[in-house]
Amino acid sequence: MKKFFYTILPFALLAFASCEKIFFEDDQASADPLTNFEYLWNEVDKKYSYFDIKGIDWDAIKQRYSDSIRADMSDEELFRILGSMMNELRDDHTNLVSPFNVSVYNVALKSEPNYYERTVLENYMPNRQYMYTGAFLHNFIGDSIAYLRYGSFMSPVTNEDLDFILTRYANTKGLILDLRENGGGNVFNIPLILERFVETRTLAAYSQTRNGPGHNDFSAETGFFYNPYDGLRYTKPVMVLVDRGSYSATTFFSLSTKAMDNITLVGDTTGGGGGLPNGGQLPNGWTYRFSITRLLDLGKQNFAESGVPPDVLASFNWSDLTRDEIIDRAIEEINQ
Amino acid sequence: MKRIIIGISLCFCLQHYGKAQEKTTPNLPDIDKIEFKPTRHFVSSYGSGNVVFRDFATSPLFYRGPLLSVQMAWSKYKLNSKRAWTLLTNFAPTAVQLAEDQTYETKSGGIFSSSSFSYAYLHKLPKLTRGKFSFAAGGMWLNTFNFRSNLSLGNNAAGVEFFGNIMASAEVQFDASHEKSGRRYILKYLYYTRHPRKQHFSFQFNAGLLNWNYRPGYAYKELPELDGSKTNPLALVLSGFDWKLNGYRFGTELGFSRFKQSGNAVKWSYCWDILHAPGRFEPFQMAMHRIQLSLLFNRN
Repeated sequence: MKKFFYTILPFALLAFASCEKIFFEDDQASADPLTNFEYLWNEVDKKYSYFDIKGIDWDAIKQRYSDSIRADMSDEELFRILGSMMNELRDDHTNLVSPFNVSVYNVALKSEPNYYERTVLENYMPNRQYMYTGAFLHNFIGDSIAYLRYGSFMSPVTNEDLDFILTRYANTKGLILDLRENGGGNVFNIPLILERFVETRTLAAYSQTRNGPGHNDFSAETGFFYNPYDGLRYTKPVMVLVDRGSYSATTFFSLSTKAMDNITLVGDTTGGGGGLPNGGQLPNGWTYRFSITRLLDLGKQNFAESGVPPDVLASFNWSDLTRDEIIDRAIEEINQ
Repeated sequence: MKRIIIGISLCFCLQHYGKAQEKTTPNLPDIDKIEFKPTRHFVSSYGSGNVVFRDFATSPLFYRGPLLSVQMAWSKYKLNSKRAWTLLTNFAPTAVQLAEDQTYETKSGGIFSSSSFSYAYLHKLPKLTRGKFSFAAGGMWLNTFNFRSNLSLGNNAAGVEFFGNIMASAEVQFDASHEKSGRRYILKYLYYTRHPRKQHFSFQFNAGLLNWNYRPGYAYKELPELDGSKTNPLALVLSGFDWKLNGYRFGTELGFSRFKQSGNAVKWSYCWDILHAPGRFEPFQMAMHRIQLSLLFNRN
């Protein structure tokens, strides 16, 4: 019996004593400002995907901000510096999250808005009446044009909702899909909608992911295809309304429409946000995210992060809130 | 005085009761009569312990949590070998472990689940067997799938990884069976009667020889590079992941098994599992400790 215990004792002690401490590297938890600054700067340097298109000199930014880091600085001061450094990326997929604040770049606030909901509801919806089907607000404009408002890609889209809507508007001349101020959300909702507007399998965009330490190290392009929905589809002209508040998934959606002849983008250039963001954590527990992929058009051009330009430029006139010039222009396009 | 007399009387009565019992306790069958044949067991196990892990793809920090586990196994014991198929599921709520001098405490945590499937074969080594000690050696094929969720990590709230390990296993067993019935005294008047019983202590050590891991590529993102609306869901989840043969994995199990005459058994064990998977770019590290109660049902 004694022999047995002498045999296993070293192993048992090893196991009982949480010996992962022997096997694992040191705990890297740290509240030290410089440690956290260096960690965040390095993660962005290794993985961010839009240094080139934005002409960002990340080394110079490090130099500029590192001078402000002191060992005795408060958490609020550190957050202000790290948040400002992240905002140098000019990217709404970039945030720093602490227990007391969240840093946001806010592309939409850097340009004029082009959408006022009351103008649409009071002046374009017949008798100010409209329907809500799932995430879509909709009704006829006049007798022969359908208006659909989809305010956020966070809202789920179902085939049942789309079946109802497209059945109701099957005999219209055209459809207006209003994505202005749609800040994005779940990218899986994009094909659910666009599948209804394509008749053949359609290659619409490419994406690439950072795959190395060089700022231009990317994986091979992955093509994104839309397959025609096996059911009710809409083949008449579709006007998609966008503006600078149309971000992320809406930019992805807008870029995809460029490959579809029956869809026209109307309004202002989208806000951008073509890259998929990651998520991570600093040694002090704060979390962050930033873009690590880039979105390319069919010509493999990398412009979507700065926004997808409209096919028909139009802007909202804030001096007359009874008219929505962007909707008017879309109606004009359908009626042509 | 009255109390002393009552005390002495009570001691006398107890002593007399003990002697009476000693005389009347029948001799139980000898251990030889309940020797066990090669047998098959279905093993149902329930455990509790803790887990600690760190995924450098998303965080340099350790996450810890209390662990609950359920295990099912089908084992077959022959005279000179043992084999077992095992399914193990672990679940734990986890929380981040921050530096102690943190001014504001970040709430970060989530759930951790780990499922394993393994096949193990151990062959007895008669030449090493000495007295009550027996030794066995063999191998184990172990596959583990982890799913983790942590909403504070935003777009990388979900984490998944696979591990495949070919392990060398060694087991030492100490036969602690009682061959005769008899009384064991703890104090003069405090004793218990021990019946013939088959039981043993065991210690098993597993070391990974070939360690595969399926981990994120250079830059982990929960959402894959979409390549169309008809993409296979599994391909979506694992897009951008890479297989890599590196790292290590060790495991130990210190157990005590007690058999019934029916061939059923109860086993208490302490299990420890540690792995380090460097992947191609950013390592994943995990250690689990659990105390486990196993019920072995004889299937012969």
